[in-house]
Amino acid sequence: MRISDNMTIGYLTRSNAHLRNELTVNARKASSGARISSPSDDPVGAARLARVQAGLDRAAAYKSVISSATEDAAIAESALAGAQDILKRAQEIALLGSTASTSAQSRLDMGKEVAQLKAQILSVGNAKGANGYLFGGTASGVAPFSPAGAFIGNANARNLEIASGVTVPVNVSGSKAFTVAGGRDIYADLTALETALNTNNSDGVAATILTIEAGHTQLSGARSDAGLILSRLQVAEEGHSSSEITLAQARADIVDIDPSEAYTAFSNTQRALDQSITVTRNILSILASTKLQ
Amino acid sequence: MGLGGLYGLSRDALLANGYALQVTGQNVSNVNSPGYARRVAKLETGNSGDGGVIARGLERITDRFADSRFYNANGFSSGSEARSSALGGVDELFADVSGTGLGDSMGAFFSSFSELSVNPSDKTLRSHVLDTAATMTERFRTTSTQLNSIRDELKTRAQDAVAQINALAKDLAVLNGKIQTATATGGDGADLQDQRDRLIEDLSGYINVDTFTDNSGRFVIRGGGATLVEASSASTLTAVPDVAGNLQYSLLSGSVTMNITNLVTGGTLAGLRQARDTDVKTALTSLDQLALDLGTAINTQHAAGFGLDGVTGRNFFQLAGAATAGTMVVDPAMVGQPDRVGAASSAGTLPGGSDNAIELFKISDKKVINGATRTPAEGYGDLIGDVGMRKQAADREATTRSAMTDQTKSLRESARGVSMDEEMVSLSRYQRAYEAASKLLQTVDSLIEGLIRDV
Repeated sequence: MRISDNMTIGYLTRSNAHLRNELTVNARKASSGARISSPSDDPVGAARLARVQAGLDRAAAYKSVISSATEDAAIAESALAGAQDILKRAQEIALLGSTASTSAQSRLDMGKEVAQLKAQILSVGNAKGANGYLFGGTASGVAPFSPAGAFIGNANARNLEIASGVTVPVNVSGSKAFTVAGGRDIYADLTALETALNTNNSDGVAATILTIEAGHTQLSGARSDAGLILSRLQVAEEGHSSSEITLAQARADIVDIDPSEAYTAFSNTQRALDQSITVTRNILSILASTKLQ
Repeated sequence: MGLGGLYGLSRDALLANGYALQVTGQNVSNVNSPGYARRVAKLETGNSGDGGVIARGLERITDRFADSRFYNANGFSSGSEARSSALGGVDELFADVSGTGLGDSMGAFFSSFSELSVNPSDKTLRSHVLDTAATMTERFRTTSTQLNSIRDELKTRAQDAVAQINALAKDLAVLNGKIQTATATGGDGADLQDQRDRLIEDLSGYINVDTFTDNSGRFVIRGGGATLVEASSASTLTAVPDVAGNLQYSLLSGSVTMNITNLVTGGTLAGLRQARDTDVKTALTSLDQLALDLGTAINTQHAAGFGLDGVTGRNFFQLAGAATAGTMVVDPAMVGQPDRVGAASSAGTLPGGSDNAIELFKISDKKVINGATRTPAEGYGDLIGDVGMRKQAADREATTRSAMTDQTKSLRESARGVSMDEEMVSLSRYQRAYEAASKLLQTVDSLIEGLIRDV
């Protein structure tokens, strides 16, 4: 084949341009650490990345709601434990107040303490968490118990989706924990105790011992519900944490480049470009000497 | 032949080799001139019977087959390069790795419903839902606007290319006339032919070109399969959008207008049209479909929910017309009204009911896109995957076409390009021949001088 000067120079120019372009690409990959910076770098990978990222977003969203719900469930569990302590004290008062040796004045004093316990129970029933009143069902905007102890919340469950297709209630029902819907109306039982004490009615006081015990048991059930919620949330949270690790690894596999591989590719291209420039210089020198002779 | 005849012989040799040296000088001078075809002096034995040499002009060394292959390859290469370059902007638009893309805004929008489901009566969370929705619709609109801007820019570039083609066609028509005149008056017109070849080479970058000389000896240049230049007459090309908004290329020759859109298969014009009316348009259609399907699914579910004000049946997004992505907004009745977000599934569960917020979040993992076959993330993944594949295919084609153009250019250069090695040899050869002719003249002159002296 006949070789003209322009063919030689054109070939050298193209070769250098190609290597310089490759060097730029490899430099970008080595410096950014990313294999994909736009969809055309790996279209299949980019499409997968969109799906993996959506999975990561969903896992993060689940973890966020689980965290918030866990906080509320833990507060509820703690509040119910406090309510049990209150009932325990009320039970002790009832036992003491039911004995024949207790004076009327003592019963009046005990009645005052029971009045305070009632206020404390009311305070527990109207406890608030990070997301509103804990025991009002979906009527979360107003205190579920009136100052007179009447339940004005509702029995609706506050549901959350804690995993794909898994929707669970994350609140403890205030009506079941504190009102007759759960067996005993705790506030009413305390009122009965208070009344019996204030009227020096030892038989009436004795009658409340069992009802208060039943209320205590009722609160135990509600605490169990809170514990079950916490347990479910914890299992779900662990599942999402595990998914996050898997998805983050998948994301890294798609996007990240092996640093040594990237640096090797960059070095190889750099060496090839150096050699190509040397060859170009030599050939141009030969062409120049031909013209000068 | 007597000694006197040798005078004529050496004169012819001096003239012929002097001419050959001139031609060699032209080659050396134009070694880097684009479009230049090397020339060879045509030296022949004269017909005067004395065995002398005469220069019968010069010959431009070209290979029409190689020229034709080069124009063809150059057209495809320019076309694929134009397409690849045009798709670069689209590719960057969907670069989500940096975390600023549409995909992220969709993720944030769905997550806001999940967050709302924890505490549906929280005004801040309700406002957050509206904020993320506004961000997502803004991203849809921006992406759509940018894709449409790319289409507008490609139309302008195609029209600029058409203006270049028309200017080149006019220049070529003028050159055809000049070459015809030069050859009719005995000239070789080599410089003019070089100019014409260079212009045709330029033209082949804009549109698929082929050339031939018709039976009447007229040089014809066809662009996009239709006659663009015939002898000294040039047609006019136009590029205007048709009723569907796609580019339409028409050739106006005299009073006849011909639609040659489908005949334009090479050059920048073909690449720009493919990028504009196939690649970018497909991305826009997919984006519109994604916006429409996503918006419709959210609207349907949201309409089943109840706002804090107890009202149900509200749309969440306003979806208008076919260009959904470009016009998608949060429904004006919802803007600034967080209480109207339908998080509860019944009025009885207000204000803490969150079942509908959960259902709205669930849409992120439901097959509601493209005829209920893909989830939103899958639909978006399909879109960016398609964009990436088109750009990657365009890049590959550009690389392949460029290599083919280099090959055909080499083939063409092999025939017509100047080799300084050859020219140095020719220079020495004609120089020696010229010196020998001089010596012959000197010798004959010396012989005749001696003869005169002796006589």
